[in-house]
Amino acid sequence: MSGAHEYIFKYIIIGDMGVGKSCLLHQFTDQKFMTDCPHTIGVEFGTRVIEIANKHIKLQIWDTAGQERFRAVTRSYYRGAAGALMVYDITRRQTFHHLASWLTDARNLTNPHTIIMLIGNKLDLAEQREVSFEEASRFAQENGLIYMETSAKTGENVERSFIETATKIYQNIESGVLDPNSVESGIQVTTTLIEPAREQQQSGCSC
Amino acid sequence: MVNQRNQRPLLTLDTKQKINENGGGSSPSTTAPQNSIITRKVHQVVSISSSLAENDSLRNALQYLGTFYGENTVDERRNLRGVLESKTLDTHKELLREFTKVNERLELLDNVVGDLSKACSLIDEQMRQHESVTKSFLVQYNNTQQKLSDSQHRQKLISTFLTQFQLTDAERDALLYHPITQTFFRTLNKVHDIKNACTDMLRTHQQKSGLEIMEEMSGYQDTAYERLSRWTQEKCRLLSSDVYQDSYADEHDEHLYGHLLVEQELKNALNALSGRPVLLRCCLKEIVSARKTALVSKFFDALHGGRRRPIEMAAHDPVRYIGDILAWIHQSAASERELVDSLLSNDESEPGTPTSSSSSSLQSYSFGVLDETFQVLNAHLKDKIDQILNGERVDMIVYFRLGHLMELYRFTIGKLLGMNSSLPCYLSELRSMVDHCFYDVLQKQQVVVSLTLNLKPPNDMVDLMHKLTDILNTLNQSMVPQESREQEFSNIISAVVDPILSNLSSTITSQENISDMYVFIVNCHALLHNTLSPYDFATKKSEVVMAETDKIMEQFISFQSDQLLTNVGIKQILDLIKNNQKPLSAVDGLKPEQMSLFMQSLYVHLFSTSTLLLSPQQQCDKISSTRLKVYSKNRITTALSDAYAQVYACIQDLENQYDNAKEIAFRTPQQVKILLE
Ligand SMILES: Nc1nc2c(ncn2[C@@H]2O[C@H](COP(=O)(O)OP(=O)(O)OP(=O)(O)O)[C@@H](O)[C@H]2O)c(=O)[nH]1
Ligand SMILES: [Mg+2]
Repeated sequence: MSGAHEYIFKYIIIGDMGVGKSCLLHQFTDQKFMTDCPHTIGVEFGTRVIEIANKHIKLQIWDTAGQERFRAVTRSYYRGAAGALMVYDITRRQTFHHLASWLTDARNLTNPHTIIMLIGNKLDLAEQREVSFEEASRFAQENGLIYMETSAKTGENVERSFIETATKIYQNIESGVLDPNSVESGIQVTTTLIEPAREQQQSGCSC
Repeated sequence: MVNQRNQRPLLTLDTKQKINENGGGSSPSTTAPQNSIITRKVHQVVSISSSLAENDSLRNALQYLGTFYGENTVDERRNLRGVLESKTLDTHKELLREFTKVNERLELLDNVVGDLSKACSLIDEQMRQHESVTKSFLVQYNNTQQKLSDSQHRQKLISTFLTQFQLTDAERDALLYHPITQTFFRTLNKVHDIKNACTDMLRTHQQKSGLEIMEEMSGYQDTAYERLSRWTQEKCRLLSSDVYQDSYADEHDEHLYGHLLVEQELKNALNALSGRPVLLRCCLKEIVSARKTALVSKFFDALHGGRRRPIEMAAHDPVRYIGDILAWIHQSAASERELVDSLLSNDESEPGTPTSSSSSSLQSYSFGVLDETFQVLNAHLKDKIDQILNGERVDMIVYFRLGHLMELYRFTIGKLLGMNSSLPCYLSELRSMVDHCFYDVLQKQQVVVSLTLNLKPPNDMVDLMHKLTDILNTLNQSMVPQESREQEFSNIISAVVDPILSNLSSTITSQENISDMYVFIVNCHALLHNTLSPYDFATKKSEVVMAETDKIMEQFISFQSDQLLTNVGIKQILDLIKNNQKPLSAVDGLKPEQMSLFMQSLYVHLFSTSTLLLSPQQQCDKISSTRLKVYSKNRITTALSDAYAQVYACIQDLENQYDNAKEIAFRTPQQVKILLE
């Protein structure tokens, strides 16, 4: 888990307050669920290194506050995100209705290649569902988003959603759609400034 | 005896045949004597034949006999003994000859053995002589052997000692001359261990060599640490190299700096150097200066760089602009922290990492490094703030929002860099600067609240209240804790609301237009109250305003009621009633005919809704609050109907001796009340 990664992808998580953004992040980075997660103040952040196509990729994830009063603040963090997870709560229809506004922000403030994933969270409470999978699916399709339902509580699909987004980003790099070296890509190619050790050659004569 | 045996088998065969041929046919009684001989013979033969089978020598003898014994004739049988004896004789002669030869040889041998024996005793003699000589050599040999094994043992000890207390040539070279690699760190570790071992040695009788080795090792260490420090400083300088990358690549930049793969050796180097705080600090200084360079370059790149959306694009919107800058700093702080943490951490599992005890102390430097690094942004941040403060006049709400933005980021960035580190502290300094501007402007917002024609709050005040609403919204949404929010609120109130309140209460001094004054004040209060009441931190203040309003309302109502009762003349009647004795019909001014006239004119007023009655109503209508409007109207009507009820009761009172009471006051108070409502 050292610095041995080739890329860094910047993610943002957006969506109404209480939809479980912070819980998703925690589930992804710590494999833990927090029952009484306090409202996020401003923006918090977490990282985790994943592996895609034998490449180590570090996800640098910015978890924003959903409360309206932080909206102005959180908007400053969209810049240069390679992936955006847009979360709503499947048991609260209201949070689904607000997606349009979140999506507008995401489109306006990120770049055209930013992968936006729609996440319907709290899948463990499916019996209290107020938004059907089909309806959300249609919304995602109409807006060109990937869609997935998750539960930050059980962890179902949490890992998948983060990794699938990263896979899409990686495919864009591979296919040349996305230039990882460009500024707004939200990707950083890590380099090592210090030449590799000459240990072999050295230890050869010391024995 | 040999002969006998040789003959018998021939007979035996015949006899056997005979027995078989005869079978049981011959009678036993007639052949009895013959039979017994035969039986004996048979037994003999059988025993011989059986012994023949077992006895090899007998068989050999018989075979030998077969070589010269021809036909089995009587002559032959008679001569057999002679033949055998002559053969035996020949054999003996032969033996004799041979033994004579043997004897000769033995005599010869005896001579030789005698010679040998003589020689042997000679040798023996000589041996005995030599042994005494050799004995001393043997002793010498044994001694030498012992010494050899002792030496070997010592050699082993010494070589063990040397490997444990000295460096090999290769190690020394790695430590002092070769480029820095894992071997260097291993050797440095070894030197450290040797020194430790020497400390143990000082407790034994080997103090002198302990001290010598220790000195030698210290020498190595000093040189090695010097070298390592120079090497590390060089490597640390490279940590700013993304600057160069920027200079040639417009489109190729991005935050490479935050994510350098920190070479294990640099980590090891810093870890090793934590044993030499002075040298370590030099290296940390290099890191700080390198990261400062990198950070500033990135900062300007984010502001102006080849981005699609450089932050500078928002410069026209100060809150957004500063917000973007602070968000950028926050994100950089996160990256920078990761870099510094990975530099100043010790992976214990890695080989060649010196003294693990140093790792925790190494980590303790990371806050300091970050703190110093981010200090470089303070001045730039101040520039940006100054730019706003000295630029075109901005709305005071901008100052207020900026202040709260800084408070939010003081907290957010403080979580990464440490609350007491320089940048967060500087943010709170900047905040007080901005707050200062805010209160400066706020204080200048003073409006002179003077009576308006429509009795509504003056436009200046309405504007100010809009601004106040903006401010209170920002305050309400800010993340500052409740008590500091209340503090801030009370500052704002004393700057804005309190002057208005005192201004208002001072306007009531003149008696001119007093009724308008009351309405105006009530209306201004209502505006204040409406502005404050939505915020829970303003509850107390809005209650104060409310109480003040109630007081003014009471004054207004009593003034209006008084006016009304005076205008319709009922007040004077009530005064006379109060001040005189019964029967009142005798009192001048309350005489039945006077009362009758008064009541008639009162009824006209009441039923024709004259201006006398309407004017207080109209005054009430100028109250903007519907609740207060209705309330005041009700109170005034009630005052009138109450007064009427008193006069009516007085007329109806028999003791007052109005004869035609029913005619003077023919409307019941109830009727009047309904009418007024
Ligand atoms: N049952 C269930 N509860 C969840 C799930 N995810 C989050 N919660 C709960 O929902 C509440 C809000 O979760 P948060 O992660 O704090 O929500 P948020 O989106 O970060 O909210 P803000 O920080 O205010 O924007 C918490 O009490 C969680 O315990 C889930 O998948 N299932
Ligand atoms: Mg949250």
